Amino acid sequence: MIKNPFEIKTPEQNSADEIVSLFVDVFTDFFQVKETNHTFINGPRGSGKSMMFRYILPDCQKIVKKCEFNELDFFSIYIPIKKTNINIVDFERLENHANTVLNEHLLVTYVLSISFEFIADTIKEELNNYDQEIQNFYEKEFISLLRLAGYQEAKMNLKANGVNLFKQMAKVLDHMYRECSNYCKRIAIQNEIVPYNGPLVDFIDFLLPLFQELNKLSFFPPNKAFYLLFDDAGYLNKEQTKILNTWVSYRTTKDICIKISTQHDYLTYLTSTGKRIDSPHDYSEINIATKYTSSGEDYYKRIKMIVEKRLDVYLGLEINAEDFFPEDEEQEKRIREIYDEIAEKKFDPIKKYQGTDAARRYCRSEFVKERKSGKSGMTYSYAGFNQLVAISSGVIRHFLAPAQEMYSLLLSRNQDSEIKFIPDNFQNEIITNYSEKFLTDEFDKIFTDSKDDAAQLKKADKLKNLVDSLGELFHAIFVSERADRVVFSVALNDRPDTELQEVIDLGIKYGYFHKSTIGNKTGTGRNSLYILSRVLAPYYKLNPLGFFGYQFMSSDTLKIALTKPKDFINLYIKRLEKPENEAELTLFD
Amino acid sequence: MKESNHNIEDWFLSQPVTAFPNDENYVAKYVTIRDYMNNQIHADIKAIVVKLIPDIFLNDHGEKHIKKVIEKASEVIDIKDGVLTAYEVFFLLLAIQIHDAGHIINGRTGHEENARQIIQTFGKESLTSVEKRYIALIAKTHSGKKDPIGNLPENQVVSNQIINLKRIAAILRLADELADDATRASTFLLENERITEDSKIYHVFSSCLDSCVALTGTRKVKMNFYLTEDILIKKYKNEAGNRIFLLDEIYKRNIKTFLECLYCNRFLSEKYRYNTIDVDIHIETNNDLVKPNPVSFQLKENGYPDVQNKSIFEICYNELRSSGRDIDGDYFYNLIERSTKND
Repeated sequence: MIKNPFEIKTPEQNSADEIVSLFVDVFTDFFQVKETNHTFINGPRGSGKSMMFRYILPDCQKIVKKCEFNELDFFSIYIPIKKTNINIVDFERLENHANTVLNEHLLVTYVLSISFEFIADTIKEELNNYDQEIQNFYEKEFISLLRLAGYQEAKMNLKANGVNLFKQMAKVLDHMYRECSNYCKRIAIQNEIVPYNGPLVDFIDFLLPLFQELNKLSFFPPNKAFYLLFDDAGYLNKEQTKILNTWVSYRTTKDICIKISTQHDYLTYLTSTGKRIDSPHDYSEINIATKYTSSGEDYYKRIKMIVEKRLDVYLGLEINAEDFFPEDEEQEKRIREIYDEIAEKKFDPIKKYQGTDAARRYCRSEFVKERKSGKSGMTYSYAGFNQLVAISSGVIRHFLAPAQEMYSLLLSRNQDSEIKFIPDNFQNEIITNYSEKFLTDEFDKIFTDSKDDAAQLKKADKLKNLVDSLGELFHAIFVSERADRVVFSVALNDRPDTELQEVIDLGIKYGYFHKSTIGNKTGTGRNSLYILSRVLAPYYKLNPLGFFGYQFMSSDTLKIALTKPKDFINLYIKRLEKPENEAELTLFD
Repeated sequence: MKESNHNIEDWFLSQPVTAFPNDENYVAKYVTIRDYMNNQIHADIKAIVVKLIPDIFLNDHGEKHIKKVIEKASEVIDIKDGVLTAYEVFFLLLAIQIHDAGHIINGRTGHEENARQIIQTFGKESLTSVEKRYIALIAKTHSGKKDPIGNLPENQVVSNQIINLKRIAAILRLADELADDATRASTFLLENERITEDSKIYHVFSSCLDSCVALTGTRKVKMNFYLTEDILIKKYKNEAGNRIFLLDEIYKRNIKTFLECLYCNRFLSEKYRYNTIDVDIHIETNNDLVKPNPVSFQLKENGYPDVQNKSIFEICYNELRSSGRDIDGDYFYNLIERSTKND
């Protein structure tokens, strides 16, 4: 059976060998992830955070470095924070009883239980060569720290081998976790607060000393930190988030480095001691989408490497990504002709670049206008590797997912033939559908998630209005006679109020906007810039390529779009229809 | 301490059950634990430390010291002002009871953390896990320089009552700092030269500190030292192994007390902040040449707060200078030696 080279599997589903063979080194862009430091890794779903984590796990690193576990530069442990696990939302009753200490106990036991299980599953039978060391660790460190925490019941099979000892320790911690979790659920439904009499553990007096002692075991890299990889930490509740921040503030990077991935949904940077963690003093931070949307060239190179690697590994094809995803030749030929026409028309012997500059700016716009006025209507094709990369907006999944679909569809139609490229009409059809689904399907989910929350529902409505308004406006600009026609973002002159900010933040969370900053007009500071995701380019018929203009506007102006999208559009369409009035053409000032 | 300040423990013991969560008898719980500590732990601390570290002879860390800390806590705040609830005083008193108890486990090393082991011996009928946890956390912060109080969680709610951990910890820490007077010294053993060389300076210091009082509402701590000529010109081995004059050790400890006040002030309400240490060092002598006597000075917050980077002579410039010299141990030694030779 022919494998789809663009198949998306969650990183956990891939073996270490597969990951190492597929992975394209992004750590030159994101070197902080491997450094001995606490790090936040922020990016939308599909931007590659989990893949980075998977790659730095010990089984992969062992293959990459061609060494043993105790020769690695660090030993990382994967800690997934999924919705159904730790952040039980009905902890509201804990507001009246020992919120911090119980939540920290839950977090510590969860992390350690997962860690010991992970160590057993990663190092596997090799642990059985160190039975005595592990037994000593269990008796002298694990049990004595447990007793200090008030746990009296530990019964372990001391004749167990190394692997089983780790699994048993994981079980003890899991039992402590469940005991406390059940207590918290009980007090949630009772009127009275019943005292908690189980053991209580925390980071400083339990987790940290345990890891410090673990590090002395000879199968771990000596004097090298453990990296705890918290994936999707946005799922933690507020108190747990504060607790995790408190751990970050402790500066324990010699022993434990905390790596936290979020989808821009991290609840707070406050600690449970009332202080705030800050970058770079307490942690380093990377924003994947911002990095790749501001440095298109790096991102292009990364995607190209990923595609070519996958084609090689899965299909044995040594081929350029550009050749596998060819452009619409007819379209590009006509665009080149228009380019030449404009360059000639606008040529100025004094300003030598004026002609080609204008040609570059207007050729696609003129092409679309030409098509629009013709019988075929708007038929701009988004085929071509260049365009597909641009549309993916710095999020790798937005390239791979449609590519996977393209390949599957083609395969179902050409079952016996070797596929050496994706025809441009296939590309265009799939990417246009993908763009539509990105808008409509995601909004369906938002509305479904919000249906019991009237305030959230209103916010979702406003977000839809905002996205539609900006999409339509940017299209109108694209097919206008304006000097700057490729506009994808707005820059606010002033601070948005709470209502507008919340809607924008919701848009960022769901990937419709990216946030950046831009120097203000007076050169005295920076303003927030909100960039519409280029995944929406096919849906709103926008040009995903080239330099993107931006418009300054006041937040009051933008706010109109939240509730009166038609008014917002009509206001600016009129201005666009009168291009001779330059003052009005500045639109949003 | 104003006359009107109640002793915190007496006040606590008089509280009704309705002052506590679930109307439980926390007074009885405290008395049980206190009596256990007095009988089983406090009495044996010194003996254990001597056994573990023969060169160390601790000054008092037992029942007397605990009583003194409670007394000092009663000076630092006026409990009738409603600064702490009855439940919070429960946490404070137990933290005071166990704060030095960790010595019995492993001597001085890590004694703050070893207090946890002591508290785990109490069953659930005495203390819940949450109460043990917070009491141990508060007790742990009585020493250490890595901002231990600042790193405590913000106000916690336990059994529907707010517990201000930082405030309680600050009261304990300050009270412990001020509880170092003559009652702590092993006077008999000192006088009979039975204290080890490494520990003498601490006992001598304590024995010379006649009183150390937090004057509630005045922002001042008043300290009175009394030392004889012999003690003034004698050198003692300090923590670093150097031989220094007691006066220099007194100055160093005064700075520490001052810094502790400034540190704890962060967590205390305005009324209970102490920003002045008023010191009088009386020298018992018939020699009129021994001057100034008493050595009097104030350590006070002044100008830009960079006290940590200054010596005591820079902070109290006018008060600790004489004839162009710093009034330190060497100053008095030379003065007395000269006067003896002239005789």
